[in-house]
Amino acid sequence: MVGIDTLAIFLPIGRMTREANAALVSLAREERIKRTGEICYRGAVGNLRFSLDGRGLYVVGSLAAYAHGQNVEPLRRSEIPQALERLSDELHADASAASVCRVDVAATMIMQHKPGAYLPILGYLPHFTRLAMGETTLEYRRGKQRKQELAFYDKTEECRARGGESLMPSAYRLAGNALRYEARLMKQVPAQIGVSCLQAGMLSDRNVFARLCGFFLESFKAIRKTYAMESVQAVKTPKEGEDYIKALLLSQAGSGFVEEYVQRLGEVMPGKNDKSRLRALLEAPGKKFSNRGDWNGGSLARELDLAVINETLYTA
Amino acid sequence: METGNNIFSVFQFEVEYGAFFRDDALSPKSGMPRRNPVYVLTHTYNTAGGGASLGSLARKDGSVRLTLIKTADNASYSKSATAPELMLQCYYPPLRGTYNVTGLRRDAASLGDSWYSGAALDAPRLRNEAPNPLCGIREAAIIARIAADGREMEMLVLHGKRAEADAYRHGFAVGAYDPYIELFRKNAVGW
Repeated sequence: MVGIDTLAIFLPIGRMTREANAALVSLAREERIKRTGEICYRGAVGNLRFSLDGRGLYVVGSLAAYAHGQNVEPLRRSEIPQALERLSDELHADASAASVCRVDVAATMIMQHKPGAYLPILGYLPHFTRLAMGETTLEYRRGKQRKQELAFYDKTEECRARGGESLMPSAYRLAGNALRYEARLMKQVPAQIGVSCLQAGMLSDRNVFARLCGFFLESFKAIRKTYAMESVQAVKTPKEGEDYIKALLLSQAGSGFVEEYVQRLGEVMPGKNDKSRLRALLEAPGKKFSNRGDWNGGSLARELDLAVINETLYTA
Repeated sequence: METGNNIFSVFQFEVEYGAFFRDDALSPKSGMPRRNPVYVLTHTYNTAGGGASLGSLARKDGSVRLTLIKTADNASYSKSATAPELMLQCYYPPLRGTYNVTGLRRDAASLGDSWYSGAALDAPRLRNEAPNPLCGIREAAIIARIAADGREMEMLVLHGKRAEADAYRHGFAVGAYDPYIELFRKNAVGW
């Protein structure tokens, strides 16, 4: 089920008491910021890191790992107030009144195949840069400012690499194939989800959570994917035959290959819209013969579609 | 996936399995086909070898009969997005009426057969101060498979896994635990 994972919050110094400041300073180590010469205090409560300076308190980390001990299962809407209450107790400051600077909406999905098999079918996403990092991690970054990020990776492998496989919930450990999808709002979170201000306590609000789930789902839907092909009986004319073989070869290569090819040619083609035109030309045959119906035919893209939709049901 | 010969080495927690078949007999009151299907428990299996929780729902004659209700048909039921699609009920004598065993939420990725998840009521007592017969499994996840033709239903009670109910439901729906459920089917004995 979709939930909250990493959270970054900021509490202005004016909203903190002297006792809270003193308590946090006792938990932290003093550091001098080289650029400004300012003194700040850095420390950690559980897995969450905090820094305290003249402006206020900044806390960042996985709230799910803070509450559950692992972040395979993200924090559900109903669990957010309890986690913030515990955090407030440890920080001696009202964490639910802090403004949200970054929030990750995440879900871990049990899949039929290894997570690496699903990454090549995820292709172009308008306004985002596609970054394949090895065979098991794929990221999309929006613009130079990186306001939004989408990430897909093998959660089982990540847990194994960190030595925390035994901490994985049994549902994922027994199944073996766990694909993680994270939709990250990295900056200006309130503006991006269309609210005037966003405090941490509001994350458990039904409407706010529904907007976050909407961002999670709509971002995924916007990614162009390679669906399974219809059978060859769909071909009626020689032109369609040509399109069919083009679509078949491109679908076997995967959307990732097409996107890399477009990016490479984009560097040598001088026209402003050349990349978009090339992408449209390459995608056209695939659209004509793609089968978006049932995934009994073995379409990985359809399976992934349904898995992500399934995560967003019964949440808000 | 490791299945192993010994199922206890795989599941570190108790799992109960129950197979149900639809009772196609006509309604004794009206003599007409039933509006809501009734499923009768025929086979069970328990990894811990103890008494099955499903047995606590047995009637005087020892049979376990569950009625499947569509929540959309119930006007008084909440229409919220989190409301389950189906509800399993059974007759419970202390209430002199029906008892909601669990709500059932469907997995969107179900292939042919539909997979559902739910959980028992998390309260020691029901209305009229009647004891909750499933209080012992209130921390358990309930997973149900209803065949595409609706003739059979399988139910799994995964003890202590209430928080992971949706993850297990999806795992069963995509076939991630098929070897385990085959073992349950093979080992199940008549109720």
